Amino acid sequence: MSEVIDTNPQIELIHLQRRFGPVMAVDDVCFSVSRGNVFGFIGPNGAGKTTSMRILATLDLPTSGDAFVDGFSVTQDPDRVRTRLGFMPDYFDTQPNILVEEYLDFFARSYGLMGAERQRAVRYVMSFTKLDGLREKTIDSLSKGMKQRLCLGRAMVHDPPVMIMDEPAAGLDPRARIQLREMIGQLAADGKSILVSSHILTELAEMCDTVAIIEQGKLLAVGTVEEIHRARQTQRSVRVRVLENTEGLCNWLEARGDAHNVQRDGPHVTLLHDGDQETEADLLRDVVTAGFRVVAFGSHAESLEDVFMRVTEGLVQ
Amino acid sequence: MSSLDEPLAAGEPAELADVLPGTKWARFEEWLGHLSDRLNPILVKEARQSLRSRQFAMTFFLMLIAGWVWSILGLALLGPGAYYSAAGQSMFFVYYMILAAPLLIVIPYSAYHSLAIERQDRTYELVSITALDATGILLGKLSGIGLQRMVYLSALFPCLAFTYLLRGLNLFTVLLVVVYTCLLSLFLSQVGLFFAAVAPPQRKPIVQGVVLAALLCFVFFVDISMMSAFMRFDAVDDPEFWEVNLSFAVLYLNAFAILFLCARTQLTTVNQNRSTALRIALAVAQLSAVGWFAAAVLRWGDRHVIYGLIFLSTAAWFLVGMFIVGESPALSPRVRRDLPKSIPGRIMLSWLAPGPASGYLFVLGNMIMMAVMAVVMTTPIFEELRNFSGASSISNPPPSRRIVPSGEALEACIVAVSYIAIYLGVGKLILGAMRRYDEIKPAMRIAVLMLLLGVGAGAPWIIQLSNPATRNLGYTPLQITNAVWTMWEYCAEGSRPPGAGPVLVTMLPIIALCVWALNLPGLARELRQARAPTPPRVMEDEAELAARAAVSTEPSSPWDD
Ligand SMILES: Nc1ncnc2c1ncn2[C@@H]1O[C@H](COP(=O)(O)OP(=O)(O)O)[C@@H](O)[C@H]1O
Ligand SMILES: [Mg+2]
Repeated sequence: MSEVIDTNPQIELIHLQRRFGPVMAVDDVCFSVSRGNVFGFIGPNGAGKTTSMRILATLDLPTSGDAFVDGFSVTQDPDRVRTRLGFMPDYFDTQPNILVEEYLDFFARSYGLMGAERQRAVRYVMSFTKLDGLREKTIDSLSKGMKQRLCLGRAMVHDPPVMIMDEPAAGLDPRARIQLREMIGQLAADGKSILVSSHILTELAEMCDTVAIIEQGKLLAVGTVEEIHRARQTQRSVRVRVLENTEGLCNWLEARGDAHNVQRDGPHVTLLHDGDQETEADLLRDVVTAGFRVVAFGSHAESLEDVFMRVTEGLVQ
Repeated sequence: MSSLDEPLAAGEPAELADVLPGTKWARFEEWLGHLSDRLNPILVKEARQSLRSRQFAMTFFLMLIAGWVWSILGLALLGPGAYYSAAGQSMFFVYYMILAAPLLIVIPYSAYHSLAIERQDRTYELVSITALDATGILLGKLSGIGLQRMVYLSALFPCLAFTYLLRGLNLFTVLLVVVYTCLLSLFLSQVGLFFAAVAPPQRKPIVQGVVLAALLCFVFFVDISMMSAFMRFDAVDDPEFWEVNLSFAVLYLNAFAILFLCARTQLTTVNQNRSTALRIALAVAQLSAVGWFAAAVLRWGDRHVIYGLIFLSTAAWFLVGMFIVGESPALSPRVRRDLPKSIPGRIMLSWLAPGPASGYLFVLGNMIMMAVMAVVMTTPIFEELRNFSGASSISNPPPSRRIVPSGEALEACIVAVSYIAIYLGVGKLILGAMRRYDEIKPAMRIAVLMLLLGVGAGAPWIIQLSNPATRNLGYTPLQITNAVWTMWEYCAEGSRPPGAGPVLVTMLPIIALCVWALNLPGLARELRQARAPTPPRVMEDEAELAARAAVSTEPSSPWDD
C-alpha cells in the first residue's frame, strides 16, 4: 500500500461511520485523495459507496467520524464545502419544462456566478460535455447518456476543485463510457480531485490513480491497482494441453506436489502454483522431459476481476 | 477558475452588444442582465418553467374566460340597472370569488406541492448543495409563487377595474380587498411551504396535503364571508379601522416570521444554529402580544383581556416548549464557534443558545415577563394611564366588567408560570433520559408532553369519579395537576377556582421550584460547553472572502459610470 503522506489532501475521510438502525452502512472508513488525483471507490451493491459519497456531498451526516473537503468539515461547514464540491449522484433530476441551457444557467446562478462569468461557465460546460447541440431541448427528453453528461455538466458548472461521481458509468454504452473516461481524465488534468465509484473494478482500473475496495461498509484494500494486485496475488495458474495421455499428466502433476488444484478441463489440464515465471519454465521443461507431448502451455496471472472477487470473497452473502 | 479562464472568448458568438456597441439598447440589455443577477435563481427558473407549463397557461385562460363570462352574464342579469343601483357590489363579489379561489387555494397549495415534490424526487437535494441556503430557497419559492399571483391578478385586473364604473363601490375598498387577499395568499403560501418542509422527504406526504387542502378551503370560505361583510359596511370610516389594521399587521409579521423560521429550521442541517433566530422571533411575538393586549386593556378595560393574555401565552409557550425542551443538549462545534466570548456574555445570552436547558430558561423568562406585564396592567398606575389617555371615555365598560384586582391576576400568573415550569421541566427530564437511547424526533416530543399533560388531567378525574362522594363536585383541590382545567377556571371563569386558591398558589410554586432545581445540573452541563476555536482553514477562507468583497464594491451598474 502506498502510504504517501499528503499534507494537503482535497478529500479526507476520518473514521467515517454511518449506521442505519442495525445496518452499519459505512464502518470506520479512512482514506484521502490528493489534488489532481482520480480515486476509484469500488464495491458491490450495498457496500456503502453511495452512503459515503452522500456524506461527503453534505446530504447526510455520519454517525461518527468526519470528512473534509478542501480542508472544511462536511459536518460543521457544509456551506463552505458545497461551493467547492461538484456532486454527481446516481439519479437524474426530473424537473419539467426546462431547457438544457436554462438548467445549467439555473445551477450556475445558484452557485453564485454572475453575468459574463456565468455565461462563460455555461458555455464552457456545454462544450465540454458535448451538449452544444442540445441547448434547446427540455431535460426530460434527453437520452440516458445525454442526461449523464448533463449531470456532469451541472456538477462542474461552478468549477469546483473536488468532484464526486456516484457510478457515472452505470448503464452507459461502451462509446459513452470511453467519452466519460476521457472527460474524467481531462478534469483531473485540470487539477481537480475526483472520487468516482463503481461496482466493476475493470471499469475504473485504467483511469484511477488509486482505488479503494469497500464491502459491507469496511475498506478492504487501498492502493494503486498494481499494488492491490501484487499484494493479493499469491498464486499463478497454468493451463497445459498435451496431444495424448491427459489423464497421465494429471497423475504425474499431482505426484510432484508443488502444483495444487490440478484439474482436468476437457483436453486441458489446469493447475495453481505458488512460484513465479521461473518455476513455470522449470515445470515446462520437466513435463517435456517426462515424455508428454505438449502443444500448449499458458500461464496467466489472476485478472483484476479475480482479485476483486477474492478480496471481497466470503463477505458477499 | 483554471479551466474557465482559458481563451474561450475567441469562439464566443457575436452578441448583440458587440453588434450595437454603446447604444442605449445595449446598455439597457446589460442593465437587465445585472438586474437578473440580483434576482433569486429559483425565481428566474420558475418564471421560465411556468411560461412553458401548460397547466399554468390553462389556469390563466380559465380565469380570463370566467371573468369575461361573468361580465357579460352579470350585465345581462342586472340589465341597464347595473349602472344605477348598488349592483356593483354583487358584480364585484363574483369577480372576487373568481380571484380568491386561485389566490387562496390554488397558489398556496402549489407552493406546498412544488416544494414537497422537489423534496421527494430529490431535485431539492441538488439545489440544497448549491450556494443557496434554506433562506434563499424559501425566498425563491415565495417569489416564484408571487410571480404567479401577479399573473393571475393581471388576468382579472380589467374586470376589477370595470367594477369601478359601477355604483355602490369605491376604488379604495376594491384596492383594500385586493391587497388583503394578496397578503393572505402570501401568508398561506408560507403555510404551504411550512407543511412541505415538515413533511418527511422520503414518503409521499399525503396527510400533510389533505390537511393543508382542508385548511385552505376553510380559510377561503371564512375569507369570502368576511370580505362580503367588509364590502357592505364602510369600515374604512370607522375611527378604529386603522388601529385594527395596525395590530393585524403586527400579528401578520410575527406569524409570518415564525412560520418562515420554522420552515427554515427544518431545511437546515442540524449542526448549524437552528434555534437562536426562531427564539428571537418568538420573544418578539410575545412582546407584541403584550403590547397588543395592553392597548386593548387601555381601550376596553375588560378583565377578559388580561385573562386572555395569560391563557393564550401559557398555551402558546407550552406548545413551543414541547419542541424546545427536546433539543439536543450537545452543541455542535459549529454552534460553539459562535458562542459569546466572555463568561458574563455566556450567562446573559445563554437563553438564546440552542439546547433544551437554555430553551427551558428562555420559555420561563418569557412567561415571567408576560406575567409581570399582566399584573402591571391591573395596577392603579395603569388605570391612571387609562384615564389619562382618554381611552376610557370611548367605551366605558360597566363596573362589573372592570379590571381584575391585582391580587387575583397575580395568582393566575403564579399558577400559569408554575405549570409551565413543572410540565416542561418534567418533560425535559424524560426526553433527556430517552435521548440516551435514540434521537428524539419532533413527533416524540409532542407525544411525551401531551401524555404528561393528559396524565395530569386524567388521574384526578378518575380518582374523583371513582368516589361517589366527590363524583358530582366540580373543581376540587385534587385537580391541582390538571393544568388545563385549573387555567380554565382562572381565565375563562374569571375567578380563582372555588376552595382551591390558597392550595394552588402555595403548592404549585413549590413543586415548580423543585422541578426547576432538578433541571439545574442539565443547565450547568449545557453552560459548561466551551466556545470552540474557529478552524484555521475557516479563518483563512473568511479573510479571503472579505478581501474579495472589498474589491467588488466598485460600481458595477452601467448607469453608475
Ligand atoms: N436511507 C437509508 N435507510 C436505511 N438503510 C440504508 C439507507 N441508505 C442506505 N442504506 C443501507 O446501507 C447500505 C449501503 O448502501 P449504499 O451506500 O447505497 O451502497 P452502494 O452505493 O455501495 O450500493 C445498504 O445495506 C443499504 O440498505
Ligand atoms: Mg450506490
